[in-house]
Amino acid sequence: MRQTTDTVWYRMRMTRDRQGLALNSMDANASTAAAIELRGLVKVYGQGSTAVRALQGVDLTVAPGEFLAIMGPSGSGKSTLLHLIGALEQASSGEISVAGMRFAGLGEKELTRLRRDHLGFVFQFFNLLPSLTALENVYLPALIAGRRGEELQRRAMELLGRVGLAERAQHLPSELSGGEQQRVSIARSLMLQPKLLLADEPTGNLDSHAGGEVLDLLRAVNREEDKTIVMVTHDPAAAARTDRIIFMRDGRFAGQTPGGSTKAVLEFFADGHIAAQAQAHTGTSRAA
Amino acid sequence: MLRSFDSLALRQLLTRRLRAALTAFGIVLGVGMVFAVLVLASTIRHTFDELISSAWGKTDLAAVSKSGGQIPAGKLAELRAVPGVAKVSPMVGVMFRRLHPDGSAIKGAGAGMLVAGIEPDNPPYDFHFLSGSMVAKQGMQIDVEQAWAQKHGLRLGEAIAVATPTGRARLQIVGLFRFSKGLSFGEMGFAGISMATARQLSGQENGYMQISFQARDRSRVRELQQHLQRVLGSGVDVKTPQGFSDQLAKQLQGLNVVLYFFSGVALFVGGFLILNGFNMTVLQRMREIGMLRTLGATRLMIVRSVLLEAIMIGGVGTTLGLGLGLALSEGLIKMISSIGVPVGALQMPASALFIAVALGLVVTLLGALMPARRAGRIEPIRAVLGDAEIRRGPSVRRAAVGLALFVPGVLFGGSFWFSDSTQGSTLGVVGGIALTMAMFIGMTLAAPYLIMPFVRALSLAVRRLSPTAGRLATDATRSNPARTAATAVALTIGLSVVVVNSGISTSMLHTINRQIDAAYARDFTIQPLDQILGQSGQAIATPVAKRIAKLPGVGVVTPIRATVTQLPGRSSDSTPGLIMAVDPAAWGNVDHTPISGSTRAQALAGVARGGVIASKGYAAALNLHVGSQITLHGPGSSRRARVVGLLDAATTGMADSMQISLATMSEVYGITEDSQLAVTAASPAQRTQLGREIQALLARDYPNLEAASTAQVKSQIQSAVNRQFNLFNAILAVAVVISLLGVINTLAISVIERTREIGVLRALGSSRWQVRSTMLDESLLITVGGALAGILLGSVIAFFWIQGMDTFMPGISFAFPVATTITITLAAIVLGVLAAILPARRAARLDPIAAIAYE
Repeated sequence: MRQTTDTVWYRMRMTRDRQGLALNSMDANASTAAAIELRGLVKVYGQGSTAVRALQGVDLTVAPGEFLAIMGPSGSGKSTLLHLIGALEQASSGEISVAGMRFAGLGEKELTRLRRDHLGFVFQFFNLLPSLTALENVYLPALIAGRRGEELQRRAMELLGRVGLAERAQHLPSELSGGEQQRVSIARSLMLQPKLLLADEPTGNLDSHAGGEVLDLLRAVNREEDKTIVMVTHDPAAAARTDRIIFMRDGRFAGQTPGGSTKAVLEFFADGHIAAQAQAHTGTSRAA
Repeated sequence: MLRSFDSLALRQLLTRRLRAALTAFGIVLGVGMVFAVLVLASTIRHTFDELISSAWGKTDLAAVSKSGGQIPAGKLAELRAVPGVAKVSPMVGVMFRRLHPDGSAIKGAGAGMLVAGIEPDNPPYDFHFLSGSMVAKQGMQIDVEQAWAQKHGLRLGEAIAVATPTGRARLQIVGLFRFSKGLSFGEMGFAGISMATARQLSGQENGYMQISFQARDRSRVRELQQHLQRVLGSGVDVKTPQGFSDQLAKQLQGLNVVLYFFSGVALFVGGFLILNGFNMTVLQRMREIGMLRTLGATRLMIVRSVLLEAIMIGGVGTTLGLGLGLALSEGLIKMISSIGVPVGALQMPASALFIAVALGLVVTLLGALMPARRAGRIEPIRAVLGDAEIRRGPSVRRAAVGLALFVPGVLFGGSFWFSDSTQGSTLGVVGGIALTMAMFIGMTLAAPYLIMPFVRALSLAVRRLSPTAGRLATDATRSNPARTAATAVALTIGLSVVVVNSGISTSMLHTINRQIDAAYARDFTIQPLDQILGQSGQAIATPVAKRIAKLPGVGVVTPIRATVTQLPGRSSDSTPGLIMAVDPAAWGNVDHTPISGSTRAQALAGVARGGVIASKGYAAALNLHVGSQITLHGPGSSRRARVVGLLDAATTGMADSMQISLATMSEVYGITEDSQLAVTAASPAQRTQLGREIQALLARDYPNLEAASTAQVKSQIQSAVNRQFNLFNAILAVAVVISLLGVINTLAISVIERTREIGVLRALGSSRWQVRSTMLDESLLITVGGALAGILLGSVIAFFWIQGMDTFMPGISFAFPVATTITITLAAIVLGVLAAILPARRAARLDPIAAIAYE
């Protein structure tokens, strides 16, 4: 049964994204490659008796253009999973490949490059530089990548327009509301046109209205610009806006459900699906 | 608009202006101090050059007795006959002191006049007469340097009342002159009188202080120099004006090194402020740096960005420091002229500018290097995890390395700085500085182990005084001992140097006082006003001793004739020593200085036969003992002399000193005038009356002389030593101010870090006052803890260094600088309170709600 769900999900996505562009020229099968491929992922913090097994063997495939939510209680390993995908931390064992590129064997420099060129991050606390204006924050990644010129500012202005903040371009983060700051940070994550966006509780620090706006924006980016998005969230309403929701518990995959309505997500919790699926997946956790 | 990633550094700096300013201020002060000292050194050097070249503009060579004595008059004819000599101009030197209208002497250096007795038609100097066309040719006529005359309101034609070695005199000003380059002699006045008048007023019947020469052929000055040197013998120096200038500069080298070193300490502490400031900025910006890393910034880019910030801070700090340095150098010049060094107009050579700028930038970069590396190592994950500070326990290995660096400096630093064999030499300077710097670095490395025990001990007291605020402050300092120690250690270093400095001066003074008490069997010392024994020729004319001897109730009157010069066997640029001549028959009655190697009676009998009693330090350096032979070279003659005893004390305050007989002094060095008279009363009962009689005699006829009791002699030595050490302390005070800025910086960060905690406290009902007092307690723990550690370390260093000073000052023993310690402790409390003002205000003003929500 497990195999069946995996395959169905994957095929569904692939059909929709057949027209997807090559993510990685290094990968001969780029057009057919998954956006994210995790195999047997284990992350252990600390050593000996104090060791904490944050991830205990996770498999996951995310199709290009998919909008995926990861849910789970605190300490379930959902953030760790996101950090490993974002190359912010290194896995203790297992394999990760993003856009057809395997992390194994990549050095510090290559990982930095990978983050810069292929990944966009959206954080719970926005992480805008307080000394830079909204506009400057948006084109900062391009400066880091060594690009210069008027073109950058034009592109950043476009992006600010895209997130509805063209008029706030010259404001400092401290002059913007939380929702506005998060929209600036989404614009920033799009500056270098990555194929994959990683969002860590993007609405966690926002009221429901601002949170709704941010989710609308992410959804639009996902649909219109064909970005693959992986989002960690606590909020069933936020998760419901995605294509698929996977649940984590104690470092393992604990079930999944398609997005749709908040009600459906809550029902999924209530019906004990998670527990049932988790039991069916003892050994390695797998979701694809 | 942000144009590149690198320009982000500037933007960051501008947003943290106050922090950047605090951090930069350490560099401002450090560079300021270094630049001030460099300017001072070159100003002094330039003053001497100008002084000599403007006075001696047409002089090709000058001959001066090495020992400050007289060149025998009989040589003059012989010198005039030397081929190649165009002109020979002899000079007799004498010092006058101006008098108040009531006839009493004016005190202070400004009242002194260096007077040259010259042949009016054959002046040795380049006088340019401004008013009055006639040089003082005869009788009571005098020509005065115009800048000094103007300063003291003296006009042409006026008569000035002066005290001369032979008594009072009134001299009419017949000419005002300046030197070819218009330079004045600083505080002292300079004047010319006729040779005959000089002889009459000085009591010097023959001999010359100095003879100047003009060569017939200026291209053959070297040959002439050698020829004249042969005629005059080894007791006389024949040099070009430049040669004298160089020699003076070399003698000032020792003082310069000490000044460079202390200003270096100020810059070192400034570098420390950079290190601490950047460390904290980096810790505080971990989330931000992590975020930059997630955006693809490489480690190198982060490191470069921090270093760029440092360069900007260093650049601004250095530039402002140069400005400050100029202002400070004015102050230093005032202080240094108070210790008797003439200084003229400020000189700012390009080399000083270059060195100060280079040092400022290098120190800033070095300070920022470690924090920059640390920033480069911040992982991208910090973007998510935030600014969690890595709290490390103090490392034992670091402390061990620190101890290893500290100990050699403590044990051997003193002998490098003060030992006779290394003092003033390149090895001594380099070795001393290297060991001392290693010692400071050692202190820094071992800081947590040095300072935390004091902080812990103080914590107990603070917690007893204010249980809640004290508890929180205690926890704050202990939660990150490495940072607490890093903040306090700058203060510890600054203060330890102050304690070493004052420990040494206190010990020296205690030792001198003790030895004077033991050695002085005289009741009164008759000496010229403001004059240290043997320094620059203000003398007492022979009749004074005779007149005092006739006073009722006098026991013994015996003269001391002294000169300050390099002792036999010493090189011409080494620190000068004291040659002191006494009457061996009478000396035992007025002086009980311990003598080793023979009995006092034997030693004095030996002196009577032409022998020498040598100071222990001098003897040790030249490997002399009783029975050794040395050769005395003077302008009069050279002769072999036997060492007949060793002086066990340093009552003169000079490491090199020796005692000879009055006869030897006269025959070898040509010195026949008294520098001091030692007087005893016939009985203790007559002492007071005798004192009054002497005072009356001096006030009537010799207002330039004073009769000092032993207590007065001691206090004069004390103020001379203090003046010198105060100069050093002034420089060190700057280092202490810099370290204080470090404390303010740390506290400011502490407030930011604990914003949430402070919010919780306020929400739970803490008053603003309680929050304030927490910050105050933390500040006090750091400053007082750092100060106590500084006092302890300074005392330990001073104690060990003084053990190495035995040859410098025989019998020296450590005396704890009580006054300094009390001052420093009180100052640390005041500084702690001051440092807490801003951070405490900020903490108290935090809005509890916003603070709790703060991330």
